[in-house]
Amino acid sequence: MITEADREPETLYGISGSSGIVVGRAVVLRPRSDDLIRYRLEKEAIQAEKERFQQAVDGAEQELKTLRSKFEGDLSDTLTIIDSHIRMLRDRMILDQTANLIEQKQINAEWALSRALYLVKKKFDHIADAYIRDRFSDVEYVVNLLLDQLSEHGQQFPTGFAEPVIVVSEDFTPADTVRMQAEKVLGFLTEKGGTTSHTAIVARSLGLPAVVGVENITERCRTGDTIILDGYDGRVCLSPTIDQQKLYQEYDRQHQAFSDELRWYIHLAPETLDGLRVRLSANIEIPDEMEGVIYYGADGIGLFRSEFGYFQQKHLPSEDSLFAVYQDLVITLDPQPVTIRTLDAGGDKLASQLPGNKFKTLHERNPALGLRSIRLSLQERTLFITQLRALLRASAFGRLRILLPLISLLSELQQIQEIIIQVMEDLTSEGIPFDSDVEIGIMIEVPSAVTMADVLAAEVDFFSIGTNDLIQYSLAIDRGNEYVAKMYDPLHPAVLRMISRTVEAGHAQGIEVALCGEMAGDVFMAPVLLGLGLDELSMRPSAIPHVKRLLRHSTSRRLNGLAKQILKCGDGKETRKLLKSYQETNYGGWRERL
Amino acid sequence: MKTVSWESTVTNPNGMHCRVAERLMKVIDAHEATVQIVEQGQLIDCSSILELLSLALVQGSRVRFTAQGPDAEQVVAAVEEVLAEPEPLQDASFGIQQGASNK
Repeated sequence: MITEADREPETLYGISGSSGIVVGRAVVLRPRSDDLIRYRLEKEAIQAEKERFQQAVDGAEQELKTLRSKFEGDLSDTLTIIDSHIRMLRDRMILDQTANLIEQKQINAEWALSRALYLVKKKFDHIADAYIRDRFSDVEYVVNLLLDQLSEHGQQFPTGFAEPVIVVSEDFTPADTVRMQAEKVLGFLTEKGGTTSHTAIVARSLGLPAVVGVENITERCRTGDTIILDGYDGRVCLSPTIDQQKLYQEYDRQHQAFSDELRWYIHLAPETLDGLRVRLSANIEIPDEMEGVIYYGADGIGLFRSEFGYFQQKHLPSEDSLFAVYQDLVITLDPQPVTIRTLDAGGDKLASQLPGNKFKTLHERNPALGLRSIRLSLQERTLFITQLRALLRASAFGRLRILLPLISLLSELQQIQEIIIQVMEDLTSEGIPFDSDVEIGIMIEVPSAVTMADVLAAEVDFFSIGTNDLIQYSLAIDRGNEYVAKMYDPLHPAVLRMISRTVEAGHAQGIEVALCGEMAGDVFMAPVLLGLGLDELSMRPSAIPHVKRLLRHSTSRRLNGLAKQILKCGDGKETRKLLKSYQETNYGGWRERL
Repeated sequence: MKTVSWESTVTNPNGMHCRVAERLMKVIDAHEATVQIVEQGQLIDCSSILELLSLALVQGSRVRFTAQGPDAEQVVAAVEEVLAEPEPLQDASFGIQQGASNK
């Protein structure tokens, strides 16, 4: 058992589900079998907890009796062993001790039971005879039966915390969150999910911070650990130092103060002091986020991740249901553009999550280099055509732009163009209106697309650079892999040169180039991107006022000068140094990443 | 109230482990008597299997018993019988894996 004292402070990264920062103790729910839920109870909850434990004892006894009936009449010794186990369940050192601990220490049944077991163990530890000492395993077996019962018949979500806590789980069900609304919860932390997960949505509606999609967090974090939850940047610090806690609290205070000031920028134009305009648009995953898009003054949507319509439901979505969502988006934002990316499933967003059994059998050794994204769409034509029809139909109602992900070959683009022409002909013959000049763009997120950008630019209406994947593919780094995650560096000159090259290739063909990776919304990195000549930065809506403020404090001459210098850097460290001095000289009010 | 005290020797090859303790407690349950063990001046009640096990009575251990109740005399013989039982030859661990329930 790792205790907190043994632990080094550790920072883990996930996805920001809901903004805000809290420091508090964690309660890990639905833990792995080797972990234990521990929490303190309110006085009123003691009786119910004792009853829950009694039910677990009854359940375990029933289980053993059922087992016993299987051996009835053949192995008397086995029966005797099972009988001894039943007796252990009711033994005062387990039963009475646990009930007393629940009452006296005001702790939950699992915790009390583990303490009772510890007391028994202490008695057994002194036994010199190995055979008898090993009988402790029988006691452990019985206690495990009880723990199984508690987790099955217990409340999945404990109630009656004595202090507000940060709840940690693989994921939360709607039922969990409903129960939690009445509880003292500081924030949410999950292993699964993205910004559209139920947890993130509920957290936002409750105004509580949430970080989702942190790998193995239920194993790495123990109940009782102090953690910092940073919902702004999707970070978690385990066992933080006092200094770190102070730093984050200060950071939170700055955020609050800053956001008060930033409200002024929401209605101002996104342009530099010398009149260079850059579109600052929003990345969203669910239609519910539209409120934020409008509130933060986004110039349209630069990336709508359309996976939402496919996951978290029993059936593949119909054309009409997709159309309804897309139509609603374009009508709401008209005349601003709404850029919708076609299905980008597979890879990290497992195709197996898609409804329909045909995807369940997909086993790939290396999904990131496998059948994902546009490749999956080209293989599952019906799925793709359904989405294209919905997109084209919605294009009649406003400014819709279709964005194709993970293009790595010219031939893919040619195949897609043929499909789109076919879909347009079908719609025409069916008398369904659509915008025949609908803009079609591609994501640049594979190194081959960067090197072939001049060729690809001639075929499309716009580029959108997806840095999250481009960085991973070009640096050969899986950012989710703890051994190499540190090498994931958006400011690696290789990445910046790729961006620069893509912008030049696009501009040479007269098309606009956007960037929609996480770095677009990072105020520290944004000056380089602005200096590299991007026409549009697409980011989480709440980051828009920050980047706009930076833009309005800059001149295009200074930004371009910075980018020129940075393209000469040898590594990310050098890039950072240069950026930092630029920021210090030209822009107050930014915060260096902790 | 009848009280009987006697001394006995644990002869089971593996000492007082789960099966022996269980059988011992079964015979005690069948009699109207409470049985205690006197260990280092303390009375340990035989109604807790974990207490019994933690006494670590290995083969050859001398045990001082006291029995109280209407069946105190009868229980002595029954306890003696259990303590003198030879161990069965087979190993009776029947596939319970430690820490895993049999689901």
